[in-house]
Amino acid sequence: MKKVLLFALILLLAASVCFAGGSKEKKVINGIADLEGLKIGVQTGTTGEAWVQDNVKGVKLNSFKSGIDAALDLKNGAIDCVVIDELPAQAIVEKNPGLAIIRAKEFSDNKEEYAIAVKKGNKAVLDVVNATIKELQSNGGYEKLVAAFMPADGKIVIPTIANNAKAGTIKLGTNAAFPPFEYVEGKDIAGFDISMGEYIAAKAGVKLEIVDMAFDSLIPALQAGTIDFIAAGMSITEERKKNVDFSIPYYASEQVIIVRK
Amino acid sequence: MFQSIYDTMIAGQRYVLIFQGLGVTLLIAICAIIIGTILGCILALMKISDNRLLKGIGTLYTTVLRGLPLATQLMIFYFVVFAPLHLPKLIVAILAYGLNSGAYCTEIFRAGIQGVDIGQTEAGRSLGLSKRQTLFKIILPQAVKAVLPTYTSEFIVLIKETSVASFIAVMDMTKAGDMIRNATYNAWIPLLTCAIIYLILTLGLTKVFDIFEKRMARSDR
Repeated sequence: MKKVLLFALILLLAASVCFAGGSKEKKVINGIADLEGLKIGVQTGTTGEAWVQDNVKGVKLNSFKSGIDAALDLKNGAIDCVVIDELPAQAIVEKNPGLAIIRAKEFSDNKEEYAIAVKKGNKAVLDVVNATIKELQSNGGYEKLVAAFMPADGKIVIPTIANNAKAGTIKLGTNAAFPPFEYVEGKDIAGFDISMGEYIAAKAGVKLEIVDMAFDSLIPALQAGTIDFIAAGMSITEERKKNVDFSIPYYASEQVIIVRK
Repeated sequence: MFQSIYDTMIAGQRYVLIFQGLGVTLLIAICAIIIGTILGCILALMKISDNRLLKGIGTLYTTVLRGLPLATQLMIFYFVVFAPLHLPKLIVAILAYGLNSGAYCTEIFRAGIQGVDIGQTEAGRSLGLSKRQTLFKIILPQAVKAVLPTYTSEFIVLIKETSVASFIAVMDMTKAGDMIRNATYNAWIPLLTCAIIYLILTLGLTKVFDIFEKRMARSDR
């Protein structure tokens, strides 16, 4: 009996190794045309997910709660590539030498713009947000943020932003798995969007509270009033405009493809 | 190996996240089981009462709350039911888990009460005790003993189910593990750490309730 069990176990192991090995077979991806029929990882609720659904024939879509989980699955060989925003892709590839980025003309021709989202009709918050972005763009604060979070040498220095507010809070909704815009640094959440949120809170004269949740929960949370604004590298799309009001854009980005080398 | 554990958990004080998460997990589980137990007691008594209305309310409650997946329920509570009140999300999580656990406790307690032999009720009544006295002095003490093992497992289930609290952005232990995974690109160390801690929690809890059970069993002999 024991022998039979042992044999079955070995067989099972061998089979799983075979299958795991099978899916690791290298797919040559040079551009968008090669994506057809592949297993593609995306982050739920992102523009990358929508693009893959609409434009890739016969795709086996794998939606993850975070782009980083998708990258992990790519590393493990379960999927063939990941479609994600440019800067998070760079951050991922930087920390994972086995992965590489592929750019496509169709993506760079259709740049996306990140903006901060507020609840539809919430003019009070929107005005503060827009005023803050305009001020940052005119007083050089914006360039400082870019230099801090997207440095040429890769060494991020998180700026400290003074906020003397005593009472009141404003809630920033984000998904802290999108470096360098929002990510976990040690035990805190940091990033370009978070620093911008600090400026917004300081301008509004209140403290900032960061609420970290799944990307696809952000808009429902905004509508339910559990957060005051979204700063999560969210691109402006027609679909989203129906549900939220966007600030003036603060960053232009594009989608890229991450593959195994 | 030790280096990667160090890089993943210790560097940047990331272990603090796990402890914060553990605190949240325990807070939710303990508060929820208290709410659940109180609710369960009330609803179980309602369900065994002769009053049709009370019985109906109890049945409706358990049917709805036990019939929906917990993650769905949690989001309904957060995004729909409690949304206009702007409660802190931790409070919403505690309430949601408490209300859900209440439904399970109701059924556990009801089964316990109804599991006591009908002869006990008859004996109590024929000794001249009122219905209420029979219930509280004769039936319930016996029911508590019978219910303890299932009640323990409800508590254990509750601890484990707190792992979906991150659906509404509560930073519980699983979410803390998630954050570490996303920061370090290492899946197995944070996940295994969480798994071991959950196991310690549930094992410890089982032991504690075992002791209770043995204490109560003493009077049987």
